[in-house]
Amino acid sequence: MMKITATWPELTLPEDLVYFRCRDQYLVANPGLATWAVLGETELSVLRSLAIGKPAPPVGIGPDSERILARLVLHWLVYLPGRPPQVRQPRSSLREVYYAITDGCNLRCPYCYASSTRKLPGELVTTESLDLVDQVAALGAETLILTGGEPLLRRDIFDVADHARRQGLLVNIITNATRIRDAATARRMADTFATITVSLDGGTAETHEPTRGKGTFAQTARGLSLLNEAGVQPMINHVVTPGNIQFLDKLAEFASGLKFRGVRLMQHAEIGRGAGDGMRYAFDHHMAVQRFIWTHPLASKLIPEGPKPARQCDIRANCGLGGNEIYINSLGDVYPCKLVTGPLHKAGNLRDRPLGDIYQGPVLADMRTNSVFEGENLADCRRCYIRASCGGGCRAYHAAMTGDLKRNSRTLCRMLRHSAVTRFWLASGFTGRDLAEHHDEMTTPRLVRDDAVHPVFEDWRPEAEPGWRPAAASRRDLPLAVLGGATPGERA
Amino acid sequence: MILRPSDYVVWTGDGDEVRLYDTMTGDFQTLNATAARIWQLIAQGRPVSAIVAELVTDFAADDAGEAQVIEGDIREFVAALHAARLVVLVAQDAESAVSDGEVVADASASA
Repeated sequence: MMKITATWPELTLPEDLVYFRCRDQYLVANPGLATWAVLGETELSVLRSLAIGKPAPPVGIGPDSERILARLVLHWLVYLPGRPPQVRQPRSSLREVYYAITDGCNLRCPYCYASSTRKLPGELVTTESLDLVDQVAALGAETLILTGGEPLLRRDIFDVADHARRQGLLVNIITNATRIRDAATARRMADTFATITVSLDGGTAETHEPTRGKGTFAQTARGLSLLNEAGVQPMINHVVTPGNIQFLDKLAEFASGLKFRGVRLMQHAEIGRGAGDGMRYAFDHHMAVQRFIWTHPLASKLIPEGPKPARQCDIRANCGLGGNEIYINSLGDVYPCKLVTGPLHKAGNLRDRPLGDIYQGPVLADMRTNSVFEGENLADCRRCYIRASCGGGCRAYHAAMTGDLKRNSRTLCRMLRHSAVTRFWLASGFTGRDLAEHHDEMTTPRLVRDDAVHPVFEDWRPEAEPGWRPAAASRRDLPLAVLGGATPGERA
Repeated sequence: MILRPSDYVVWTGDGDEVRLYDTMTGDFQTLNATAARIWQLIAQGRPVSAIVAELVTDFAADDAGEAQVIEGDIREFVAALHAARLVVLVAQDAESAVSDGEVVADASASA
């Protein structure tokens, strides 16, 4: 085999390699492959020499150049002659099906993406729900996630869940836990569900109840406690809003008294009733969450949204909607995702066509075959420096800002990029304190080839201007949920 | 026996994969999940006997026959790494009059 140094003139590298700095160390990332490495000054100088086409490695490096080049090749920052990696999008396979088994809910959260209130007329009956389960299993899905509304309001919830388990599915549930009132119910849930996710808006009644309703904190806390006693360590979903962000410490303190897997911090989105509650989740809120997680001693099990690259080449072509994941509402309507429920994105109804046909149909196929690498849906991502780590982010969140699933909100992109880059650093052994103390230089992308700031880094600024409106939003593309309304039989 | 990666090897590990480059030969290699785990344990300075014990515990439980196969496979793989000069000897084991698990000064010349 020829040594790498001997092939110097033929080595290639991506044009848009970027680096971020922390003191005298540089995190270099390959945007198209989701790879990165932390380099020293000398290693970066070798990389830069290649990027600008110098005929040989920098003088003075000597025999170390072979080791340095090897490191760059092993992290896919430099490609061997004639061997640039090719990214191929694997064929999607259905893994998770969210089934809103009822729209009925005993709470009236002002930001509810599903706008749930009462059970809708025409809800699938038990036999239809059991048939749905059969079809989900026949498609090879691994997990059925029962949601709502409040799924525990369905009297046949355990019949459906038990049937799904007999079909070999893992069954999860998302609940507000207010209906878990005794040890027997908690034990039944422990025996039935692989993962139980409980929605919690705050660590005290004062922070939880403004959105969930009077008396609900004690009910949910009792449900969590009963689940713990039954041996369940639930996940907790917490919607972070501009109104509760300053109380994350109370949430962490409350959770520290429980046995739980983690707290998912979900940003408030202008979807469903959230489109009309007057709140807008901004980058400053994102930063407040990040800083809390980096520095608070009880934050280790708090999981923020956003890309979480942890290993090299963990490439996300898209968010998975319509491919790995689909959503079925209580009426049997099938959508790409529980947050993408507009009329244009309805893929079919189980009363009209089998789920297999619907899954193979054009609506879902369009969603899953588009990626940050090809197709029109995610074209806005093509120049981004985290595209392969991110997969484009939540399309519903984007659409809530732009009115179009295919258009990115640059404000959301800014959060996604910040999340990905900070995770690169954390996965490389740097700490939250490093990020807090050296934040700007650790998150500002500079091109290896010329040290210029990457052109998309500041592309959020126009959206921050007063009066900004999305340029090309089509009302026809708007999910009804974004419009804040729901029509009978077509609720979001 | 305690080994370590050769000074001539540049390597990186991600999750269940290790990629390495031999600067002497110009060869790249990718180790699969089990081989990567053995490599990473070697790189942590674990004696081969301890590596065997850990993997036997994980994969063979109480099956003595399986344990013997696993031990044989590991020692064969480690010998292949050593023969290829991808790892070098740091300390011999009990059969060579140096206690396994005892870290001694790296007196070995690199491969």
